[in-house]
Amino acid sequence: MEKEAFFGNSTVINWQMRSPEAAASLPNMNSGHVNIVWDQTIDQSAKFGSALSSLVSSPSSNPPAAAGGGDSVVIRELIGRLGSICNSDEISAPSPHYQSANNSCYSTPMNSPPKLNLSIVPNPAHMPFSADPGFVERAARCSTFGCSGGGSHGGGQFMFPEVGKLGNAPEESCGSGNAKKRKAVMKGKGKEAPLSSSITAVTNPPKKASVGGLNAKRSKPSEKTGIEEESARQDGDAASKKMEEEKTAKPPEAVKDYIHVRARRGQATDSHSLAERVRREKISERMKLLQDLVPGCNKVTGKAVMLDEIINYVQLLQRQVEFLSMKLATVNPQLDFNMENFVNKDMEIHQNCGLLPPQPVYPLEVTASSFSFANLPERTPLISINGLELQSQVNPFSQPNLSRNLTMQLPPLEGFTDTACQLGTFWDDDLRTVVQMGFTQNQENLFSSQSFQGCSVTISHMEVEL
Amino acid sequence: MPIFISDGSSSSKDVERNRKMNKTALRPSPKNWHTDREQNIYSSKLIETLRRIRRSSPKAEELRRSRAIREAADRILAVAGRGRTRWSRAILFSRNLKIKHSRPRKAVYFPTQLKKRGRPQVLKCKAGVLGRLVPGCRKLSFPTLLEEASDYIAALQMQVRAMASLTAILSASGGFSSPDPDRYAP
Repeated sequence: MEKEAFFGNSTVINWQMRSPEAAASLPNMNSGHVNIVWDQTIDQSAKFGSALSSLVSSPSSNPPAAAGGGDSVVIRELIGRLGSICNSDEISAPSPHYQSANNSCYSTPMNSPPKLNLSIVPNPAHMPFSADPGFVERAARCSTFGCSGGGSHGGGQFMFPEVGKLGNAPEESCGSGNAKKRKAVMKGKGKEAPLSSSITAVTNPPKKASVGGLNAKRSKPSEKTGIEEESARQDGDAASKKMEEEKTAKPPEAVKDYIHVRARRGQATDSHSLAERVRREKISERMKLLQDLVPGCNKVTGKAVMLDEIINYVQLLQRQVEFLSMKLATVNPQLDFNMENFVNKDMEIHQNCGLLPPQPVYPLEVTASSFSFANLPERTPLISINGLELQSQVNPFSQPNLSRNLTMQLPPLEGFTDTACQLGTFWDDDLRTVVQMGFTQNQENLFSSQSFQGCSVTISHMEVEL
Repeated sequence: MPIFISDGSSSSKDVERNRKMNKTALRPSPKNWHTDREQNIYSSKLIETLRRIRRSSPKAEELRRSRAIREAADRILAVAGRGRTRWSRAILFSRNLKIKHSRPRKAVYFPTQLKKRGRPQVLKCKAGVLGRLVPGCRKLSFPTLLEEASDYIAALQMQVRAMASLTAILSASGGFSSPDPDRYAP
C-alpha cells in the first residue's frame, strides 16, 4: 500500500523492493510496502541523496545482512546501502534494480552499486500508523539537518515501520558518521518556494515552527538545501556547483548571506542547536579577540567577568583620554614653535625604531635634550644658524627630505653627534633626529627670535601641506 | 583631509563583493590600530587641530578648551577609522546633530540585584552597559557589540598612546612621565 496518500504529496519517497530476496521476505507486499517515491521534480533530490549518504556513512560498510535478520538491522543496512548509493558519484546508467524514477531523481549521486538490497521487512504489526505523524515529525526534524534518515527536506520522507529503532538509527549514524552540514548560501527566495511547496501537510506544523524560529537569521529550507547539498563531500561539490549556478542565475533579491556551518561529530544536529552553536562560536571568537586586547585578562574565563573587565578597561581608556586632553590644553603655549619639529622627530623615531615600543623612547629623548643642553653651550651660535637652515628646509612629513637635510648639516655638528652617539648607539637616523632636537631646544631657550622666524616659515609650510 | 573610502560600485554583484570585502576588511581592523603609521597620522592631525584651537580661543577657559580638544581628538580618531565601524560613524554624525555639551557623564554602575537574576539577564545588563560606553552601540546584538568594542578599544589605545607622546613632547620641561595605556592592573 502506498503511503503517498498519507504524505499527501508527490514528494514522498518510495522505496520499491525489487530484489527477489526482499520480495520473499515481505510477507505482505501490499500492506508492508514502504514506498519512498523520489520526487523527480525537486532538484534537491541529489542533495537529499547526499544527505542520506552522510547519514549512513557508518553502516554503509556493513555487508548485506540476511533477509531474515531483525527489522532494525535490515533497516540500518538499507540506510547504509542507500547511503552508499548516494555517496557514489554521478550515475551513468540507471540501475536495473531501481525504479526509473529513482534514477532520474538521483541524477548526481546515483552511481549505485548494482544490487541494493532494499529489503525492508515491514511488519504490518509494527506499522504504527497512529505514531506515524510523530515519527514523521521527528523524521522531518531530523531531516532538516540534512543528516538524518528522515530526509524530509526536499519533500522526501522516509516511512519506516520501526519508529523507535529508526529514530535511533539515523541519529546514531549521524553522530558516528562524522556527518557535517553546511548552511548553503541562499541568494533568492526562489529556492524556498519549491521547498515550501514540497513540505507535506503532515510535517508542516513542526517545520513552520522551526522556520519561524530561524527566520530571523536564515530560512530553514535554505538551510536544509544547503545541508543536504553539502553533507556528502563527493557529490556535495557537484550539487553545490549546481546550486550556486542557479543562485547566480537568479537575481539576488534577498541579499542575505548565509554562513556555511558544519555540525561537528557527536553533537546535536538540531537546527536550533546548530544555529546556537554558530552564535556561540562567533561570540567566543570575539571574546578571544577582546581578551588579547585587554591586558591582564588571560586567566579570566567566563563571559560575565570578561565583560566586567572590558567595561572597566573602556572606562579607564576614556578617562585617560579626557585627562590627556586636559593636559594638552594646559601645556606650555611655546609648543607652537616647535611642534612640527617635535612631531617630526616623534614620527621619525616611531618609524625608525619600530622595534622599540613608544614608551621607552621618551626618557631617551629627554636625556638627549638635557645632555645637549648641558654639555655644549658654546656651540650654540653655530648650531642655531645651522638649525635655522635645517628648519626652513625641513618638510616634516617626508622623511627622506629630512635625512637629506640632516646629512648636509652633519659635518659641522660632529661635537653634538659624539655626545648623542653615546645615547643612541643603536639608532641610525634617530641619531640625527635627536641631534636636531637638541638644536631646537637650544634655539628655543637662547635664540627665540631666530627660532620664531625659522619656525614661522615651517609653520606656514606645514599649513600649506595640510 | 578626510580619509573616507567610498565604493562607487553600482551593480549588485559588486555590492556583494564589496560587502564581503568590507566584512573581511573589518575583521583584522583592530590590528591596524597598532601600526605606527596610524599613530603618526593621528598625532599630526591632532597637532594641527590643537594649534587651531589654541589660535581660535587664546583666552578661553581651560575646561572648555580641554573639552574641545577631547572632542577633536575623538573626531580625528573616528575619521582615522575610515567610517567602517559603527562607533566611528556615530561619533562623526553626533557632533553635527547633538549639542549636548553640558551633558554630564553618567556613572556606570551594576545593580546589586543582578546576582539574584538569571545569568542571561546579567549578561544582557552588562552588554547594555558596554553598549552605552561605546558610542553608537546601544542596541546591537551581542556579537556585533563585541566586535565594535574590540575595534573601539584598539582605537582608544592608539589615541591614548598618541596623546601621551604628544604631551610628553610638548611639555617644556620634558620630565613628564606619561601614563602607560598598556599597564592595567585589575
